Amino acid sequence: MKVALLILALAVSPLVAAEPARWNIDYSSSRIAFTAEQAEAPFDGSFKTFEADVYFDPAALAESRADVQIDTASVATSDKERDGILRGAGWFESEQFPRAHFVAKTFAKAGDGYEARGELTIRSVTLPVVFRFTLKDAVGRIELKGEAELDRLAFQMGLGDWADPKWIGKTVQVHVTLIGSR
Amino acid sequence: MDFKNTSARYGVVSQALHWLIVALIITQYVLAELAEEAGHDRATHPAAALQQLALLARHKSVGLTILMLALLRLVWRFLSPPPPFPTAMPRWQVWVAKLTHYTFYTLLFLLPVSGLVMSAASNYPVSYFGLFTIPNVVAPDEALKEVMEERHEMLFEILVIVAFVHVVAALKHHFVDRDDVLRRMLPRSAR
Repeated sequence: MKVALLILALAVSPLVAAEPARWNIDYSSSRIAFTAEQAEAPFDGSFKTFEADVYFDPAALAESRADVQIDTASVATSDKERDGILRGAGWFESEQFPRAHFVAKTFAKAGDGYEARGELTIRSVTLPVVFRFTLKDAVGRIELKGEAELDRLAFQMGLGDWADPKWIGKTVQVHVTLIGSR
Repeated sequence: MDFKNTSARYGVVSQALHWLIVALIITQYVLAELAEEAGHDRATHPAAALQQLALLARHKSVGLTILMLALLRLVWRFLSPPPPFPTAMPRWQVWVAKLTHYTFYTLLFLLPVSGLVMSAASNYPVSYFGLFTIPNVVAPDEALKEVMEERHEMLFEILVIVAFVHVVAALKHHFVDRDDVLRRMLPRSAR
């Protein structure tokens, strides 16, 4: 019995020990930004409000996970009119769909960084998304920088009259900077 | 016909630049008006919003073209000075003519530049006909955008007034003074 318990404890211990800690995100220096294209020129924007639940540890990729909720009404592109359009009909429709949601449970090493495979929900559309990131992991301070590429049309963002990719680019680059600690 | 200006008339380069810029300024006015009209329908018709975006994009590209042509024109003015004013012109008229011309040059720079600043201040980097992008010349700033929008319109109003003086003066030279001030800016066949 004792031996069995010991074996069980030994078998379980790596998993228990490896359970990644939840990051304490420093929201004042973290950022979810994007680059989109309009009238054949790129412009930048960001989301002022989001919540990131990150349990990532390079030593425990299998147990790592992340859950990010983005307040779509907090979209900010330095132009009130454009922000209003983005919150409105045909785009985020923030009243109806207040949050975009990214969930990732599959992490892997990729190049000099990592790759998270997850699902992103914008409006009512959920699609697989690959998020590539690098990590500067120092004691007391983690810095994550990552990128993802989205097809706005696939997420039903700006269909119909807005669809023409000549005037509003199809591809949106998402840039994420998370500063936190464990 | 001479490429360079002579003491009697404007050469091909000066004439081409003059009339091309006239045509482009009229184009600018039409594009701006159409964009404004589309802007009114935008709330109810997304198609109008996209149309406004496209019209303003072209307005910006044409504006950049005018800026480049204005630069060329200024350089050319030094390389090939314009023909002198008729000797019979009273001194005050020479003064008004010079003031008009210098104001035109100033406006040909200030109008596109104020437009570029306006665009940058609202975080709309400008693409030149989709060929290349002019990065934002200033950081996004809503208050600055409002100021520049006002200035841009004000500068255009000044342009209209100066153009009116310019056209009236040219017609006066042609029909009243019966000199060749207007003719020397026209191709020879139009004499």
